[in-house]
Amino acid sequence: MKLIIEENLEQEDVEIIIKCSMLDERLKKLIAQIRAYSFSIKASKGNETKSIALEDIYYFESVDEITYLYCAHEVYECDKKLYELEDSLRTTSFVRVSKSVILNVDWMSHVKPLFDGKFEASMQNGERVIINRHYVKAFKEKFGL
Amino acid sequence: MKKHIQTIKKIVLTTCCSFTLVIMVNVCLGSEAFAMRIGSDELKQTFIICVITSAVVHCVLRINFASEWMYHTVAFSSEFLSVFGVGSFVLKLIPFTAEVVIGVSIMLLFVHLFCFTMIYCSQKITADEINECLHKQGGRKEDRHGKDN
Repeated sequence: MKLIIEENLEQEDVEIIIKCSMLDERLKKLIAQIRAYSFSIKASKGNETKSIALEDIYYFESVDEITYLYCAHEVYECDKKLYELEDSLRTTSFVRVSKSVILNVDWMSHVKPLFDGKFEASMQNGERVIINRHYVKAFKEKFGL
Repeated sequence: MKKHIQTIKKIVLTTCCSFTLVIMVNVCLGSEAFAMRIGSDELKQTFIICVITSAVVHCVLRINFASEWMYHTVAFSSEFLSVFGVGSFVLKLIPFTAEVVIGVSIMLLFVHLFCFTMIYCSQKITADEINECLHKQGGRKEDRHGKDN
């Protein structure tokens, strides 16, 4: 693979062009990571509003019609609905794992099965997220299984 | 359409497992009071009970339960109700006496545990495969996490 980096002070935005004969799985993963890198979400905590990089988000959770965004140690409120996020994050490392949660598989440390057909994902910050059995198929597909 | 085919596939699979187990347990307990004499009519009726029970359990388990205990309690109760509802009151195959109810319940518990152990084992395999993928990607993620902290 040939990697060309051109630095130009006049260039306002970062532009990435991928030239290939065919998109394979590795390339698709790379594109997903690039997409995640270039995507940030506006979130608020109290009066403070900030832009959170997608790669820093562990998961989104919807509680009482409010979407919360969980980072390693902070929780923010997000103005987007879960279905909107699901749509725009389809090609990234995020996957819907239950009716109320969209999870970033990049921050998962391990997963274990439960006795009721569900899975439990342990995140790298120690939090645990339940993967509902209706979403297991999509979850497995994220890992190419 | 694809979803319906998958549902039918699951019901057929559960029916096959439970029917085989019921017949096997029944043959093993051949001389006991609650074991039935297996003729072709009994076989057909047992199969019908297995199909209906599988379909009922499949529908009931679509509900999202708060705990694993609740999940198994509801699953077992629906199995019990379907087996005795259809077997005793519709097909008149299973006599509704204390001795038979206890015997069939034990058989049902055995089939329930076997089926759910199989599901758990298949999920354990999936979880191991996912953990292997995560382990391969581990180094990169730990680096990123370290930077954040």
